[in-house]
Amino acid sequence: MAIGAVQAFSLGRGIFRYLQRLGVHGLSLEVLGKLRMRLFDLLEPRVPGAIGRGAALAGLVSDADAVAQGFAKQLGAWVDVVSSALAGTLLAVLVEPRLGLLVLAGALAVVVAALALSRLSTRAMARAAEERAALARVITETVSSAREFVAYEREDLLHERLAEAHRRSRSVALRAALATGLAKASATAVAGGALAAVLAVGLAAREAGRLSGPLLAVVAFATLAALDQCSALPAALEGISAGRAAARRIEEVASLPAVSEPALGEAPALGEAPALGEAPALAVTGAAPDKAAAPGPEAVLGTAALERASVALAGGTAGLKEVSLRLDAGGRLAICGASGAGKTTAINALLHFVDCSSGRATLGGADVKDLTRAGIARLAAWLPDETHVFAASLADNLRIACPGATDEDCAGALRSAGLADWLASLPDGLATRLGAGGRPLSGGERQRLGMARALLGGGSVLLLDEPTARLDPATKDQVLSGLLRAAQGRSLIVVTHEPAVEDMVDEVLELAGGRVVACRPGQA
Amino acid sequence: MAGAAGGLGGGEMAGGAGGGAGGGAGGGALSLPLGRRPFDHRLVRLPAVRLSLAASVALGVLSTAGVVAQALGLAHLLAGAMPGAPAGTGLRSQWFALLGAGFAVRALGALAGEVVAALGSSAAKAELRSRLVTAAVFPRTVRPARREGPGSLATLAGPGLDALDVYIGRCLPDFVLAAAAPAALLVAVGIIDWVSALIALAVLALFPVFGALVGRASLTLGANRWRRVEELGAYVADVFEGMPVLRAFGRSTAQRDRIAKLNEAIARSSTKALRVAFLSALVLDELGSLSVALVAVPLGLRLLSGGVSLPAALAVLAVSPEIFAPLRRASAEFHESTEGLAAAARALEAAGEAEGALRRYPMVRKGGPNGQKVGPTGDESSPVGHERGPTAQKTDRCDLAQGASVRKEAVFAQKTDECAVAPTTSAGFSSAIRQRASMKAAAGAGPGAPHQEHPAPDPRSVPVVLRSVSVVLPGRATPLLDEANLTIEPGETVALVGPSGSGKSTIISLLAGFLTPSEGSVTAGGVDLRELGPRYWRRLVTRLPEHPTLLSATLAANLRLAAPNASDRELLSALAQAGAPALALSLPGGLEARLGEGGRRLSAGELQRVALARVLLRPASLYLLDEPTVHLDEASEQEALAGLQKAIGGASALIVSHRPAVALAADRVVSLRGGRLIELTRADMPMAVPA
Repeated sequence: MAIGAVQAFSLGRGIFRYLQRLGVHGLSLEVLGKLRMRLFDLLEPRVPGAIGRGAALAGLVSDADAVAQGFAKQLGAWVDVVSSALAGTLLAVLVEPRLGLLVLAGALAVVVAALALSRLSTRAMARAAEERAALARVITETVSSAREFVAYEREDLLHERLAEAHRRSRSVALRAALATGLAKASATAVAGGALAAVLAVGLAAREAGRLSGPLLAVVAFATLAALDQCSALPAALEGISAGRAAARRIEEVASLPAVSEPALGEAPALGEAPALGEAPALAVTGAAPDKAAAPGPEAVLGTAALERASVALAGGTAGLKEVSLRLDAGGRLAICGASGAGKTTAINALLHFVDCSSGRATLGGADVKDLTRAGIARLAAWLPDETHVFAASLADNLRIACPGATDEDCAGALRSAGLADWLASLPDGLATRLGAGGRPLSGGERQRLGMARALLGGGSVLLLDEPTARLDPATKDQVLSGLLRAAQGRSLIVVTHEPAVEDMVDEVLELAGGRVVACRPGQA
Repeated sequence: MAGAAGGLGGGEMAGGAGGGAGGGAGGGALSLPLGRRPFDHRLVRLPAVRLSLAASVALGVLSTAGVVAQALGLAHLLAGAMPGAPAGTGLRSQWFALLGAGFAVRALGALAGEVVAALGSSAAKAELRSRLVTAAVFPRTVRPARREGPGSLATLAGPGLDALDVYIGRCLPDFVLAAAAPAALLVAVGIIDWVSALIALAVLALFPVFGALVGRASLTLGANRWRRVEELGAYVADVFEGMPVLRAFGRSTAQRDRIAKLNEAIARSSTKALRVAFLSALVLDELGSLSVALVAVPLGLRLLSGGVSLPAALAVLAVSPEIFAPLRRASAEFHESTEGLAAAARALEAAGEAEGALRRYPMVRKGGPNGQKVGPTGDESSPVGHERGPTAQKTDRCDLAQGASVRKEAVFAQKTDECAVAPTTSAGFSSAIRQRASMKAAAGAGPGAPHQEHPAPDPRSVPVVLRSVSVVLPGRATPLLDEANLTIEPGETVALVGPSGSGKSTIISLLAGFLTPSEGSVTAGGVDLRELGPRYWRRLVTRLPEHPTLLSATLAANLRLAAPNASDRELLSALAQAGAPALALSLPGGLEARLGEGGRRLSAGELQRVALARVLLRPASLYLLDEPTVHLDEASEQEALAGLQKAIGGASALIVSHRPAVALAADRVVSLRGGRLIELTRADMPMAVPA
């Protein structure tokens, strides 16, 4: 009978563990889902004005995964610890109440020791992570300039830098390992002490005749199992500091300035359905600006302006300081200036990716603050330095700008953007899969695709934010002039470092430190 | 202690044959949901990894010995408490001590294990890192240029390798322990009671069978389901990354519902996938429990019949669950090993691209097995270049020649010195033939003679020739260079034009000696660059890369990379010649202003000018300049070109550029198209204005 009980118990334990794992992971998936929605809501009003583009966003997505994973790990560890400690205690209590108390105290001691030292190791790991990030930057820099070191016969310097980085990273890792190792070692040592105490008390009880030998054996084995589980806690908690850091990064997004959108209730007043213009009724071309917001639609379509606009950015970087600019219908304006001069911020203000702290930004005569996102999208199209290509078909990538566009519309937009030959070379035409896992695009193709998307969107103002910054120096001019040619009669503002742009625009505005420092006519 | 001794013996064995034994167990017995091997043999072959793996496994076996000690102590204590046992209190303290010792060994083992893991993975990372650096400098094949972002060598060497920590420190030892620890424990159990050991062994033998059965079923199912989960996850990430675009087109709110739906789909398919994935763990658990029962029942019966002593029986009972624990742990860690394995594979592949070069240029692997075979200049720890200043040109050549030749060839070295300096004085663009003649006279020995006997060919006096050079990009049908031929006569300046991606930068890398052609040859004065010492050749060449990089250091330190002993005045005058006379004045701190990370970021044009100044600070016989005037406006371009021409003087130069001004300044223009080089006449030049 005892044999049968042991068998049933041990088999049951396996099944219990299986179900526990499933349950924990199910819960963590739910956490992940919630976290992603939270992240989405946090990012929505802050992208791309307050938070960077592609890479930063991808980082946040993997942060959400890390948080969920840390949650699953921690939850699983605690379920293990609590269930085994309780089971051991219960068994001991049934045999001898005093022993039960001792088992519980022992388990608690192990957990307390584990947690105390885990905290130490968590701190050490956090510090290690910081230093590691700094080191990674040094290493990245060294490797990218490795050839220069060699070419200038400075292998000694290269070797020194790498050795120094290695030394630092080893000492950082060693410190973290010592902290983690101490946590594990002390948990094991305390567990040993607790088991010895249980045995000593149990043996005394046995000698006093209050406990039988076999029962003592049962309690001892149960205690051993429970304490083993508890002393595994530091190992289980090891990875959670990464999760905690990831959670902090996600919450930090909330502290960035968000753009205030008009409340949904006001949207109908602006001539919009609450669905925010997702309806396919949106025409491909000739989109009218929001009726209520635009005083005289025809007269101002294709205009944009900043009126003494100031923008304050997080982190003390200069945004814009009382910048005024005016783009007439059909006009072409270039914004130049060094990095950090506020060029991108000017574009972001016009697109209402950031709020103006004073002054205002207008599109088609209407203050962008009063426009919905869809309303802005009808008036202005945006082309950033690196067009994101979704893992979807070419047609779907274009229809983001205009859900109702026909295949002919899409092909027409591609033709205007100078991609006719490229389209013809695609075996599956508009159905070709792009993005991750799909057909790779060159930098120039990517930007032209972005242009096609912008053209399809129908906005009568094109805002190009360093459209060729990521391209090969040799192709820059060619792509830039192609993009500007594709704009045809639309008004446009282009932010660029390229001197050649002067020949392609009517007016050049130069910014420095968030102010307009020069304004000269272009050569076009 | 017999158990511990047996355990250690087993550990040594496993340390030696670790890869094979553990790999076998991992592949079959653990019924792994993702269906791939948990070992990367190339990684295990790294000395650092081997060492730390052996140490980790030894510690693991030591901990196992601790488990045995613990079990023995516990068993004897409990046996003493059994009815009918003599109350030997005198013995009790001894068993308590054994129990305590067991725990102490495990505790110390845990601490030491962490330290060994940290040291091992950091040593392995250092080794991989230096291999990656070699790969970055001397690639075996041409890669499409990718300087930043995931996948680039630089990222791989930095944060990319950190994914190895968990894999090298924990997963790898545990995989090996999955083979070693059960064996050691079986030996220990066998010493106590051989019948139980046989039973446990029989059950252990069942693991691969069951593992294979469950594994096969779950493998395909699990892999398919995981793929679906991963696809959905990638989709969510894609939507997040594209959020700026979606928002600009007023489409982000609609995506919220989409993400919510995707989350549900992910939860559904993950649950399905996990059900299968955890099944293998369940089977392992149940098999472990079953085996304990299988051991326990006969043990009880034999205990009753007196076939085994009570302490022995209890000890076996305490130890036998531990036989299966390492297997369980390894199977749990298998999931975590994925990331580390992927990182290792990426790094090893990237490093492997330099393997050929590694044998020839062991420059960053100081003290490595090939450390002695450094080119003809020999001693790598004290480069002769230290003494050079921008003005020390003549003495430098002497150093060079002496370094490049073995002592007994001192006569040749002297000759080299003379002929290297001679053209400098006659610095004319048209004196090529005379120079070549003088070179031939000096050279004497024909091609094919060992390099020591070559009197150090110098591009100022000999032509540099690409002959029938072909370079094939991996995965590309048409070759990048298709039997390309190019001759740079002594003292000649050649402009190279061509569409982007046509291989212009590859030609620079070939001429600089960073890349060796798979077909054809690169020669100087008839001697293959491979036969010349790489160090020797690099000393003659100054190169401006397509994307110059600056270090996050001071402006002066960045400039002194090219000329360690240059004075501040020389640095300033180089900057002025490069078309940036006011740069040092405009920066806070002047020459001591920090650039790059943490310091001031330079604009693209300023960066280019600093890189140009660096080139001007380093006199050479062959200048290889990739787009030297990119990012410069026309006025600064003229200034920079004048500075460059002055610096080049009688030396040879190849300048890649699509600027008309550069083509005008060159002696001739060559166009690279379809992998071949074609001479352009003035009339052919697309953008050139008639001179």
